[in-house]
Amino acid sequence: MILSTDLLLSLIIVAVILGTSAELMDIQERRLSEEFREGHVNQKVTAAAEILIKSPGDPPNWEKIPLSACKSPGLAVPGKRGVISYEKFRKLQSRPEILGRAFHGMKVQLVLRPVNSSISPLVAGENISGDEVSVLRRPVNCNFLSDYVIKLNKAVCPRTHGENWTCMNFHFNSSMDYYLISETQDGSWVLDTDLNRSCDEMDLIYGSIKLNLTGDGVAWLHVHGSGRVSVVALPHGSRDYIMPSDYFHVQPCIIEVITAP
Amino acid sequence: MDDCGYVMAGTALLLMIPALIVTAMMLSLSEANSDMKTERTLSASVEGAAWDIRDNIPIITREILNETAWEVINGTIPEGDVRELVRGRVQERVDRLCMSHRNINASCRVNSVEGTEDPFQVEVNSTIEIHGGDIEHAENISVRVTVEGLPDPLPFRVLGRPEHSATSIEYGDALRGYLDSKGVDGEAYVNATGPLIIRRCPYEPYSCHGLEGLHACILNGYYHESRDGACYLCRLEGKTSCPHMGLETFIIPSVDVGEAPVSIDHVLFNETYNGEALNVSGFIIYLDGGHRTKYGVETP
Repeated sequence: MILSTDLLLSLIIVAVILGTSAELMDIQERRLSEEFREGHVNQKVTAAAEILIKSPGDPPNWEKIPLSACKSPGLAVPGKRGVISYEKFRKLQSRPEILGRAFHGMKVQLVLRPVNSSISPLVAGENISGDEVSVLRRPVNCNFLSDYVIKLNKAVCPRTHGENWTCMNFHFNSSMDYYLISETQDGSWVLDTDLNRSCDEMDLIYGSIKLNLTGDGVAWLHVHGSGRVSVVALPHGSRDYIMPSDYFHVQPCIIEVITAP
Repeated sequence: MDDCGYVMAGTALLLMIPALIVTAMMLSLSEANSDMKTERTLSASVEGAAWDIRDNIPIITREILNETAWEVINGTIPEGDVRELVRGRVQERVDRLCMSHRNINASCRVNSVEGTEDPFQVEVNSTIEIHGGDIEHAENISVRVTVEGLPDPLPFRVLGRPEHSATSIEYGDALRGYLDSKGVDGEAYVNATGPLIIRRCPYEPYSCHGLEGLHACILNGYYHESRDGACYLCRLEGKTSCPHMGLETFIIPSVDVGEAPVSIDHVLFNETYNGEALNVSGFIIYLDGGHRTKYGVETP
């Protein structure tokens, strides 16, 4: 009586349970491997994005040298925590293929969104769409054109002025073009050098105006009123002077790294 | 119980094996995940601490230099090697900063505080070591701190405690007395004035000064690079000249006597020699041929 009905019944139950548990194991294994693959890809993308944002690249001045010498791009400004370089981002915009050296075998798009809405977002890389798109967002600061702003030293002026004048001096040289950038129209200014004492008082205008400086020397900028002004030194031929004054400050931004396999 | 019971019990035991395997797999995965998360947090803490120390060393050093300079001015500086004193004080403050990072073991050894080839800067060399779990980070860093905006302690070391305002030193009779004690006629320097705060002169190269530039220099109390002047750390020690690249500034006399000791601080405080009077938009200063050439003003 080995093959009793009870035994057959129990064998059927055992077979059903074995089958179900095998199926469950299979499902679990597939889920785990999927999770693992996704985790691995995400980890790779996150690591590559973090390196891109936090390192200046190799070599650190890769944006200034021929692209063939760039081993891997990076956006960070050396020695400044959490600040990315506008110049490096612009290089990635003009030559998006370099992004491939940071994200091997992936499609990448970078979007830099300034918190200040008067500056439009900057995009580098191809447009990405599809199901397996992952987006990584990080808060950063972008230097934009702030490095071109030169330090104006407030000083006791050798000229005699009336009240409410602020006098500043700065060293200039012939290799740069100098622009006065005003964030207000309230007030007036006079520029002179030791060789050319000027009496032309000009009204401040919103935006930039080229300063008439030639050769090397010290220029004195006298500003009447409480207007905020700055002076920027740009390489000859640069058209960045047309940028709004917000571009000449470090701006908080969100950088988005959009990737797809 | 018949034989079927044993079969059923054995089979049930076998059935539990896959369940155990699945559970073990899930446990190990979640453990690996949590390990990775802990490591990431620690790595972020280590990186944050390294940045914190890097960012704060120049701020701390400048504060210590400022405090030490004011101790010299107020005559409360302890005796001893000032470089070592500054280094020790920076070390103490950096140690406190390292202690504030509680979840990791951060340390920073300040190796030296020394001058550079640019006399307007002081260099701090240090070694940072940070341990957090299995993560170790070590780096040597060298940061430069500007001395612009700090008070000049040298006149107070040489002359005791002359009067001063927020920006200038009123020498009163102190400088005349000092020059007289060296056997030099210091008559021209009664009620002389000089700058208190170190500010870099924008007129570079210095030969482009001319009378216009010198006028701006005197009004603003600018400092210039000089091989013969003392660097900032030596100024703190009271040395009037040193082998390092140093600084010099004008001390403005009050009287025109035709010829008098040259109106440059290191000349007055060290080996004094005479120069001819020069009228700079109403200010009289005495300059020798070498300094006239340096500042682009004609030799009379």
